[in-house]
Formats: sequence, C-alpha cells, structure tokens
Amino acid sequence: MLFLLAVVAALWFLLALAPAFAELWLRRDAASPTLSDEYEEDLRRAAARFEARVRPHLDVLREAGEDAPPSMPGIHVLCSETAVRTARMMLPPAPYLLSPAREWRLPPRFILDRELYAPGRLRCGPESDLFAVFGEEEIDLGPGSMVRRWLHGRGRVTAARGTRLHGNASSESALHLAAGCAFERLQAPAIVFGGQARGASPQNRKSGARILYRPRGCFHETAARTYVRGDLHVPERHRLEGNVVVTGRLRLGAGAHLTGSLKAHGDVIASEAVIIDGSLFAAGDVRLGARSLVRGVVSAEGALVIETGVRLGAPEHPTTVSGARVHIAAGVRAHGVVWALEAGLVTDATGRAPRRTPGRAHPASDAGPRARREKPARAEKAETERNGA
Amino acid sequence: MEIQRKGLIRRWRVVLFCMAGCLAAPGFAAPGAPPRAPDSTAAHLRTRHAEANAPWDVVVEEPLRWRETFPAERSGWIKGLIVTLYLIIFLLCVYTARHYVFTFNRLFGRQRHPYVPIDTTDWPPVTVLIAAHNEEAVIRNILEALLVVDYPEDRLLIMPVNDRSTDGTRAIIDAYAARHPERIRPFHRTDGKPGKAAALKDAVALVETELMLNFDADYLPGRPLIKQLVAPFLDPEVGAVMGRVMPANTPRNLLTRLLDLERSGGYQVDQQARMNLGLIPQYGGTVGGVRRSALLSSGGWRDDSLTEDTDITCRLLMNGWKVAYSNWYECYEESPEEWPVRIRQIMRWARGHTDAALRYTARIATSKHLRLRERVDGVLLLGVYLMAPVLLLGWLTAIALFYLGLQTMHGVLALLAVAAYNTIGNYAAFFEIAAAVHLDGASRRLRLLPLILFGFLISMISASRAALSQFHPRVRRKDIVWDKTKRYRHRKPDPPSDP
Repeated sequence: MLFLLAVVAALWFLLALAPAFAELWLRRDAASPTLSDEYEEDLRRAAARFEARVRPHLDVLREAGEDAPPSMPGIHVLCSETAVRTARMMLPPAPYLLSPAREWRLPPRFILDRELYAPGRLRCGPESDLFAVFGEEEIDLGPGSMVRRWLHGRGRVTAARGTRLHGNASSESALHLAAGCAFERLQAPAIVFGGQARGASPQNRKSGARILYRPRGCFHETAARTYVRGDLHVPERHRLEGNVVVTGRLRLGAGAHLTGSLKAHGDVIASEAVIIDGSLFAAGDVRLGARSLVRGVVSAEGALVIETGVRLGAPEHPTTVSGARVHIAAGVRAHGVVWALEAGLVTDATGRAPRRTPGRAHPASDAGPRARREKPARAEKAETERNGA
Repeated sequence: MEIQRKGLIRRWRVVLFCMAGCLAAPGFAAPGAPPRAPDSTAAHLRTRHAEANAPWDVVVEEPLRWRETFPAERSGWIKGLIVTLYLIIFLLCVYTARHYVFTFNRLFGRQRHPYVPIDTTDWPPVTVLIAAHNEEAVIRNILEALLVVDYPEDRLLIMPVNDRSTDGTRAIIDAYAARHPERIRPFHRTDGKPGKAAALKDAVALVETELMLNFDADYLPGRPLIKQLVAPFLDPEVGAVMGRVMPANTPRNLLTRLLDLERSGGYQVDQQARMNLGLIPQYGGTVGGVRRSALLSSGGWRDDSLTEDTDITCRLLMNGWKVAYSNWYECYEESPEEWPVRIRQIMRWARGHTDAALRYTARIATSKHLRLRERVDGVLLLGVYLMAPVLLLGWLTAIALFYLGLQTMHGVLALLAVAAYNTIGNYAAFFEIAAAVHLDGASRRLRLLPLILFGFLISMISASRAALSQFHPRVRRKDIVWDKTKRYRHRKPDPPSDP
C-alpha cells in the first residue's frame, strides 16, 4: 500500500514535469537562432531583396520589347495609364512592375498597397500613398505623399513639401527633402534638407579657434582623454584638443573647435560655427548651431536639433547621425545615414515646423505604423515591436 | 585514501556540530515532539478563552512575540543563528529585488541601444585577438568566419594567440597566415605563465591598433559583428564592449539546453537591463573588445586572475571608463556538453569572480568615478557567486533552527523560500529566464524551465565550494591552474584547405 502510494506520488510529481520531458525528448524548439549575414542596420537590404526578386521579370520584359506580356506570374506589369489607374483592383495581390519603356508620371492621390518597381524615372503626383518603391533612376515624390515601408532609388530621390517617409529611404546618388518632410531613416552619399544653405560651406572653412582651452577641475587620465566632472563651457573661438568626457552639460561657444571626440552625460549646446573633428555622443539633447561642422558620428539619446547650414560628415567620410527626435532645418547637408528613432522632421531655415497641409495631419505628429524592419535575430523581434526602437 | 578519509571526517564534523548544537540548546526537542515551553510565563502558543458568558469556547492563536519565542535564557549562539538567518534573508531579498528590477525593465522599460544606429562611419583599425590553447578542432572555423566579416580589409588584423599548444593548432594557424599574410599575423607563445590572461598580456605588447577585440577559439562571429563591436568605441567614454553569447550546440543534450536558457537569461535580460538602467554591464572576455589606452591606463591584463574579464571590468570602471553592451551583437559559442566540464567551468568562474570581489568590492563601493547606483550594482555584481554559499548557509541555518525547536518562524522561512527561489542561479533567476525566452520569441523551450532547478543546484554547490575555497589562505597563495574547457566540435584536424 505504501509502495503504491509512493508510486502515485512520484507520478503526480512527474506529471508536472511532463511538458519539460516532452520538449526534451521531441526537441521542437531546440535550434540555435540564426545570425544575420548583413549588418542589422543596412538600410538597403529590403530594397536589394526586392530588386533580386523582380530582376528576372524585368529581363523578360526588356527582351520582349513591344510584345511584353501584360501579366507575369507573381507580379503585375503596368504597361499603360489605364493599367496604372486600375492597379489596385488587380488580383491576386502582388508587387507591381512599371513598363521599362518610358518615364512614368503617377496621377495625384495614387494609392498602391504593394511594392512598386520603376525601371525608368518615376514622378508621383501630390498626396500619393505608396507601400514601397524601388527606382532604377530618379524618383520625385509629390507634395504630401507618403511611403509606408521603404524607398530606394539608384538616382536622385526628391521629396516635396509635406512628404512622409516611413521606414528606410535611401539613394545611391542623393536624397533631397523639402521643408515639412517627415522621415525615419535616410541613407545616401548626400542628403540635402530643404535646399542649399546660403554662405560658404563649412567643409572648406578653416577653424578660427586659435586659443587652446584647458578645462579646470578635470582629470587628465590619459594623454588621449580629458574627463570633466560637472558642466563644461568652452568659450568662443577656443580650441579643445583630444577626446573629452563631460559628466554634466556641455556648451560650446561660437567658433569653438574640438579636435577629438566628445561625450556628455547631459545636454550639448553648440553655438554657431562650431567644428568637431571627431564624434559627438550625448545622453541628453543636442543642439548644433548654424554653420557648424561635425565630421564624425552624432548620437543623441534625446532630441537632436540641427540648425541651418550645418554639415555632417563629408562625401569621402560618410557618417551616422541619430537621435530620438530629430529636427533638421532647411539648409543642412549630411553624408551617410540620418536616423530618427522616434520621429524626424525637416523644418524651415529658421527652425520652425512648417504649417500643416490642409486636411492632413502634421507629418511629425503622425509617425504612422512603424516600418517593419528586417530583423533576422529572434532576440529582438518582440523587443522591437514593444519598443519601436 | 587519506584524502577521502579527511573529507569524510570533515563532513561528519559538520553533522556532529549540528547535532551538538541541537543537544546543547535549551528547549531542545526531538523532531515531531512539541517544543518544550520555557519556564517563564509565555508559552509558544498562548490560548485565550473567550468571555465567560460566550456560548462556546473560542480558541484564538495569538501571534508570537520575539520575547516569547526567544526568551532571554536562549542567548548566545541561537540568537546569532537567528540574526544570521535574517541577514541572509535580507541579502537574498536584495538580490531578488535586483532580479525583478532587471526583468521588469526588459519587459516594460525603455531600451537603450545608443550605438546600434551607427552603421556608416570611418571605421577605425582594429586587431582581433583569438586566444587558443590546443584548439585544433575549432580554430579553423573562427579564422574562416573572421576572413569573411563585413569590415574594411585594410583595417582589420587577425592575431591568433597560440598559447603553448601541443596539438595541430600552430600548423593550422600558420597555414592560414601564409595564405593571408596581410590579414593574419599569428603570435606563437612558447613559454611564460599559463592561462588566457597571461597570453593576452603578452599579445597586447604586439598590438598596434587602439582597438582590440577578443574571441575564444570556439566562437563563430557573424559577418556584421566586428562593425557592431567597434561602433561603441567611437564614444570616447567606452573602454570595453560586450556582445551576446549564444550556444551553437543547443540541441545536443539536457545540459546544453539548460545552458541555452541560462545564457539567454543572463544576456537577454540581465546584461541588457544593466545597460538600459545605466548600471554596469560586465565585459565577458570574449565577443567583446577593449580600448588599448583604457586597458593600459587601468593596469593591463592581470595574469594572476582566473577571470580576467571581471578583473578588467572592475579596473576600467574605477578609472572612469564604461562598458557597453547590446543584445544585437550576437555570436555563437560552443557550450559544455558534459556535467564535469560544466562544473569545472563554473568553479573557475566562481573562484575568479570571488577573487575579484575580494580585491575590488571596497574600491568599487567608494569609486569617485561611479554614480551611487553604479556602485551598488557593482558590489552586487561582484557578490553574485558568493550568494550560492550564502543561500546554502541560509538553508542550513533554517534547518538547524527547526531542529532547535524554533518551528514557528513560518513567515521568515516562507520569505527564505521565496527569496531563495528568486535568487538561485548564477546570473539569472527563473523569471528572468522566462522573460528572456519570451523576448527571444521561443515559447516551446520555456517548458524546460522546471528542469533548470537541477542545473542550478549543481551550479550552486560547485560555486559554493569554489567561492569558499577562495577565502582559504593556502588556496589564494597557490598559483592558478588554468582549466581549459573541453571542445566538442568533432572535426578531423586535417591540413587546412583554401578558405
């Protein structure tokens, strides 16, 4: 009897462990996660995959010339204006491929809910609403347009006033964003915000800071780094050499020049015409004054405000600029990547947000559904959805 | 035979000590028998009758009071045991709270990945050091993986550090170096102190770049990993970078599956939460890197440390450098597949960690470069392996008090049980692992969670033995013996072919 009781008790105990033993035996979730072959943040991955998918169809179309078939398996070919106008009614849902024979001008308020491949130049009318676009040549987005997932152009990409670019927008030539555009991630050899700034380019401007500044009460720990406890204010036209770490806030006077990289635990406020040869990291907000120049990475965990005439990176040394909320004034030029983790907005040259387009929400106030990012690592899948990072 | 006899005597001594304690205690009672009430006025359970005019007798059990439970005559070491138990429970509760803070931060808090957006910049030159001692089974894989990483070739130098290998490691490294003389520059170490730290210490003298990344030979980095690990070094405050380790041989057996869960909790929740909260992510010695100037200004590698990673983490922090971590920087490793190997590994970690705790706890707690929360976290981090013997001591104390007749500390014992359940484990408690697996999006492997108790118990006993041994002056004075972790990648060490 006692033995039976012991057996029953043991079985009762093991019953709780049954799912564990079942998983151990069946190994249904035992595989190691796969690592990505690409850099997680390579903005052009989705576009490259789409191009590879469409390329065979495009080759068939180009070989066929005038005899191009109106439909191909797995893709809708848009050969005429009528086909473009009725594109949304095509079934089953599939990506769209514009005929390569001509330059395309999409009608106003044109809406597509699948990827669009444009072999030639593409001009979108006002308030177009596109899912994702790949262009082999130039792409012009009309005022108030929106791209929901990604946008990639081999040629120059131009976004008119009020355009909203969700997800990744990249170009192999240049990106031009007018004032009032909202964005998340931009990548191009040259990114021009709101047209060219007036005055001399700071790339070629020589530093006027001739006086070497030595902060007081700091700890020179190594020859390569200055560690400042508390706030630091670099006076106008002074030069600070080497890397600097500031545990408080940092203020850079007009014309100040930092030859190394910079890290501040608080906010960073740079006045006009400041030059930073290295990188700039801040745990708080960052404001870069007009006509400043940062050659390295700019990373703000808070807001990043960039005034007109600022240059970020150089054509031969592209860089990354990131912040939680990024406001960039017209007249700024960046080389590399600009990433607004929460929301990015191009303001006018005075730093003010442009007036709302009638009948539409302000681009910056409507981040919309965040772009689906290509994340092969299972580790961050749920996390990204939760944080929107 | 003599050693076994001594061990037996030592174990019996503990049992006899407990028994003697029980017998010596006033109020001792055999298990099961009601505790003898002291002669004073109070009984253990005082019965109060209701008012005389009540229709029935009401018996109310009043809560015990300190004076009644522990009367004055039970002085001395019994009170000492009770105070010890309370202290242990307090410590366990602190660690429990810490684990809860980390878990809730990962589940609901703001996540910090300040360096992840950096994907385009002027990438600096970097040297990748691969510590290798008899690694012919695995060294080829990591060399092949590093030769195809996404990093400018002219700025990446691979330096395998062959530490007195006696197998075919040297031949394999030399063959690869002959094919890629510009990219691979081997360092063959033939004498000197044994151990990874000593090998790295010698290798650093040959490194010409400011940035050094470290990998163990069994690791398999993905293509983007070098860029990901280098990006945080653009921040002038970052002295070391750490990435996430993921077992590649998870499906092998129960141990590897449990280690997968444990790693998941330790990195996905613990390390990332510390990064989020501005605390102290730990540099783990591999899948990471160190800034050369930071390393040298902090005293370089210590070759008398079993855990050079914990050691250098502490010294970097005390010199005003930070450690950066992100879950995004992922790399495969080969985890132990046999329990004895695992036990030796964890004992080495526990010894090294405890050694670092003895060296640096006071200095971390008073460091002028650290904020208060960093100091608190640093002290708790250094005490992680000491919690295993503390927990064991708590259990023993509770048992001893039970047999001493103090059976009425239900609340305290319940607290001990809950705190122990929430603290047990090396780095990650059960709910941390559950949260990590949830964040990983792998739901089925969560079913293995109950089985991890066995792994934890084995780890706890091993870590307790190792941690306590560090307090023994003879052990501390002894030269360290580097116990190399066995490799399981079964591959014939044939001569290398063209990569």
